[in-house]
Amino acid sequence: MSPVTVKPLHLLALASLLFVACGTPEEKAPATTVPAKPVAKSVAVSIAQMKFQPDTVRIHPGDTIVWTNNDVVDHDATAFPDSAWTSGTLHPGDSWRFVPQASTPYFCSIHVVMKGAVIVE
Amino acid sequence: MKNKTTMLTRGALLLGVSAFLYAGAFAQEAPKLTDPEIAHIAVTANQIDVNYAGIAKATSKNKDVLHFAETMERDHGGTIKQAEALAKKLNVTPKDNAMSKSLMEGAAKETKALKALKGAAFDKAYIDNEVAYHKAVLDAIKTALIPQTQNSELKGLLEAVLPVVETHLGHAEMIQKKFAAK
Ligand SMILES: [Cu+2]
Repeated sequence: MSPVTVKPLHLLALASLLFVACGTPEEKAPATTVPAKPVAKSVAVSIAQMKFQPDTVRIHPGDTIVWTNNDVVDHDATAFPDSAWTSGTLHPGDSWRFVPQASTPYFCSIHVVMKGAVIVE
Repeated sequence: MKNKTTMLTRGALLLGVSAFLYAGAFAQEAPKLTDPEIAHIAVTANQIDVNYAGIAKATSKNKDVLHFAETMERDHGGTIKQAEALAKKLNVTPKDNAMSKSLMEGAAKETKALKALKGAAFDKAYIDNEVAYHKAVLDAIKTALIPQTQNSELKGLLEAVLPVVETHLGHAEMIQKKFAAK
């Protein structure tokens, strides 16, 4: 009938152990973290003639993708199908930088037949 | 004459009545167009599709149709601004012409037909018309407008607009298929 009881003191000890093991979250993730990858690079995707060029981009964790709208109409780049990230509207001439954390297909939510893919390897 | 008749017949068979109107409108003036006339046709053709989008936004409740109409308004509206800015820069005054007039007449009839419809019947008619209209515009840009444009910047704008119209056609056909599957 009686469950395993943990005395408050033990709990405290356990908590402090975990704390030491993990470090403080603040130390681990400042806003301007440069990922541990030695050389994060930047990859350009041009949006022109109603296409993402290239339509598939292979990157490493921490790499930045820069989308530039070189077309005559507005576009965006939006994760598909969950819209986990989006550039918002990119007018002709606009650019957007983003560091994708995971592989995902993406599309232009304005022109839903425009498709691309990010592969993080 | 024979060519024109063949083209009209083919258009009517493939695309139905509204495309027949558009094919007729574009076919009439195919041989000779000046840059001011081409600029006027470009603005008119874009304005017609912005107007159709306006009707769709006021009438439809279908998510796909409303989204498509938003995109048409945005892209064709943006193209009008660019065409007008370019015409101004080049000192070209868009000039009314038989093809523009014919386009407007076709659009007036189609507008009347669309305004008489509601619900799913409207959605289908709007999308069918968008497919037919974009096919006709695509054909006109390729075969009549680009080949005859003298100014390289105006030609460049028409060439840049070509894939936009192609994408719109693909988008409209996607919705059309979705309706057909229902
Ligand atoms: Cu787009």
